[in-house]
Amino acid sequence: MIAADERWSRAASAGRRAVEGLRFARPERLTGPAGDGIGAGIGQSIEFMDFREYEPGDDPRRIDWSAYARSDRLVVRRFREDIRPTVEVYLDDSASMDLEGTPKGDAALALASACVDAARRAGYAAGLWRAASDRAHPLAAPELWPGYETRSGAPPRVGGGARPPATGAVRVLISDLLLRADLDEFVRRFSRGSRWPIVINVLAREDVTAPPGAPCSLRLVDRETGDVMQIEVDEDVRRGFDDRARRFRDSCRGACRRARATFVSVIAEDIFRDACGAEALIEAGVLVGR
Amino acid sequence: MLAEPIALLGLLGLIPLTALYLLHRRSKPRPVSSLLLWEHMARHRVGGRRVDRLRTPLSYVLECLALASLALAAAGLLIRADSARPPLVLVLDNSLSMTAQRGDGVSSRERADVARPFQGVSSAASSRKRAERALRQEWSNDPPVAVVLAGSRPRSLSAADRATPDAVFARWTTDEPAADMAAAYALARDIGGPRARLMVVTDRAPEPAGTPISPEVRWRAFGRLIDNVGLVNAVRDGRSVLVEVCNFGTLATERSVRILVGDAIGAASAGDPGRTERVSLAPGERKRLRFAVTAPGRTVSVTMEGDALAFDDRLTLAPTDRPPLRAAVRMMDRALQGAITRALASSGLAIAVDESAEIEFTDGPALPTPLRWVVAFTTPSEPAQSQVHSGPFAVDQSHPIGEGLDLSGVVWAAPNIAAEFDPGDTPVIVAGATTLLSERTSADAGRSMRVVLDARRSNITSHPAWPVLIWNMLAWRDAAKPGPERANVPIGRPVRVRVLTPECRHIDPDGNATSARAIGGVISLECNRAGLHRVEAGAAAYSFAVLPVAPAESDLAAAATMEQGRWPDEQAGQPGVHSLAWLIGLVALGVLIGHAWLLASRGASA
Repeated sequence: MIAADERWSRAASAGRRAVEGLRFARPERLTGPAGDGIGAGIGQSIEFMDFREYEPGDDPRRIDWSAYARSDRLVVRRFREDIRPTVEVYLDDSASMDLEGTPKGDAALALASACVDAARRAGYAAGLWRAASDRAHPLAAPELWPGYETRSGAPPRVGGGARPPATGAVRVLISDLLLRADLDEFVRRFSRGSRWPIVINVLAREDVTAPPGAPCSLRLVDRETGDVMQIEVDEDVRRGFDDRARRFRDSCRGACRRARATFVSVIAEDIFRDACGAEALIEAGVLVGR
Repeated sequence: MLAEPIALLGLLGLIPLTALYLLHRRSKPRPVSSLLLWEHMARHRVGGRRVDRLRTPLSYVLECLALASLALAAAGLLIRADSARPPLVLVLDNSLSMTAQRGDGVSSRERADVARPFQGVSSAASSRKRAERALRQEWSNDPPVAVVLAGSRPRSLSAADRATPDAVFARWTTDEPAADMAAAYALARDIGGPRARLMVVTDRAPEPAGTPISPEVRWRAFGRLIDNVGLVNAVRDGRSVLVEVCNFGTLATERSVRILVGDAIGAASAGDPGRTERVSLAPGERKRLRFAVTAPGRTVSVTMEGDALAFDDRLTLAPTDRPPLRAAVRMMDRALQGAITRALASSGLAIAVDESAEIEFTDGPALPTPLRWVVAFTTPSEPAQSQVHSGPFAVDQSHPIGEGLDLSGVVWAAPNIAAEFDPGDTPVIVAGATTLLSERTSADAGRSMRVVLDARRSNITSHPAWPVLIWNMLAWRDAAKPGPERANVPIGRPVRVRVLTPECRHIDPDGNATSARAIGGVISLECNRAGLHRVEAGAAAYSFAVLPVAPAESDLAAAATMEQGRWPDEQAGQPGVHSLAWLIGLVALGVLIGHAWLLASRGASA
């Protein structure tokens, strides 16, 4: 249980401070509900897009009479649609995200807060969602969140709740991706219908690095399932584990590439050292303009 | 071998070390985000090896090794250096001074007994039990221990006599009147060679002016400075006994010297109260006491109160009287017979007899026997047949007959037949080419002397040299009589006893009999047992006394308890072994450095 208000407030503040002066990037042709932004489709904005032949049923106010006078043809003017782009931040609130003895949970909260804050600064309608929540209700203002509770045994189920994800929205998943499910399938499902899927892979250092020191015997307890595994750790095991962790991160990156999702990998321990991962987000093109 | 086995208790440190590792390595629950990445490891292990090897951390192995090395180094691991091991030669002072006792009743010999010389050889031999173990080890090693007893003359014990330490110490009798340590040291060097390890056990420090002792010779002295008064000389003649008493102590003292007449074999005569004389002695003073004793054929004992040394507080003197020589004079020449008879009477050595003579003076034919020597005078049948010699005379002064003989002024007339000199004779007096007196020993050991003399034309019989000449003949014959040369012999001196049979038996004061064989009618004995000795030769028996008078041994002023010298390999803790403590210490140091490097590298990688 890491749901203390103070803890969340501190992490959220850290995330906001880290992205001060930064805003979420806005790719072209975003879709979304009507708003003050320019969408990719044809709409009622004042942003001219192109001409086309008049067709019966077209609004006569859109006919370009000057063009009719010059060419004796009826053409209508078309304009960009007015939209309000949306950023949906899904926070993996499974138990593995709050590994005790590591800043993994705080890092995930700070990143979520940073993404929401930067998105709003960029004119997005931003919201934070619990990826594994059955009820999946939006949490509009991070600082007002009642708490961040982790649950054991529940993998992130983006879109699995009562609320379907918004089509054409920017979708951000903050997760360690330590899933027993098919990773490709999971990322593909997450990316489906999203204009810009972004996967931020948050891991604790000990998730990807074997424990150092003398050879020892460890009783490993799965944070989510409670499963226990006894293992003798020596140099061979350490090397094997490090190699497997490296291949896991490579597979995450590959799954995102195949799903055309932006992949950002951060180590929780490094988050608070290099401005809450802002540098990694800037490097991936998620944040811009300091 | 270990110098300090108790240090092996340090190995008990392995127990807490192992316990620490076991506790440290005991499985600890460790929460992980997911077992996803670990499962492959576990599957690999289970599938790859049915029986997993014992996984021992290198640091644990190094720490165990370092601990064991340190324990072994502290225990002083020793290895036997058999190949390069020099022999041990033990030099034991066998003189009487080793019997000196203080009030505690423990003599220097007893203080040095068995393993004491090996105590303190090293820390490994600090206790008596360990010293005895070191002693047994020495005897079990190859080459075997050589033993030299330092007495009047050093002697090496045979292999059988030095087979065991007990055998050696049983033969260490400390009954000799002197200890020639320099000669014993030289003999030990000869036996052991230049690399030998020498241990000298005595009661005195090395003499500063004596033979230089190598610093690699262990010199162990167990003597103690004790005041002592002893009998240092005793002489007996037919009428009195002369005794010398000396105070070797640092304080003035008084002693009662008692003299007691015994029987022929030394037992005190019943009812004889003896005579006692009180004598006061300043430090270092020597006094002579004379007792008038006329007890022919009986022994005389002299005793004092006991003190540090027992041997010099009591002695027994044998009777010195012996029967006069029996001489027969059978001369046709009356003038010469008178001269010989007068010379015999004046000598005091012989009495004239007609039968069973031991020496016979004759101018007739006579053959010598071992019991009867013959002095044959050759006289001229006609006076005119002599040749007169007035000198110079050549006298063999080294011969018993010519000893002290001065023929100045002598006119010696020799018959002409004297020119017929027998080449087998030994000339004693020669004038020109004429042998005037010669002697020879016949095949049956009878001795004869031949004198060529014309007494009527010579003045020798009225010259002072005449009684001297006759006395020399009688004394020579008397000295050749069976029996000991001297009735009372200081201990350590050789005793020569003339006997008539080659096979003899020597019986010491303790009744121990040994056989002896005469060479040339003489047996030579070395007697280190004070008291009355007896030699039996056929039906005859002769007694003599060995006097325990040895002033150098009675003087304990130089006695000391000390130790000097170290054997080259003594640093190892025990003779004949090398210590590996330094090597094991280096190993421990290397292991600790490796351990530190291991920890540092792990810290860096972590």
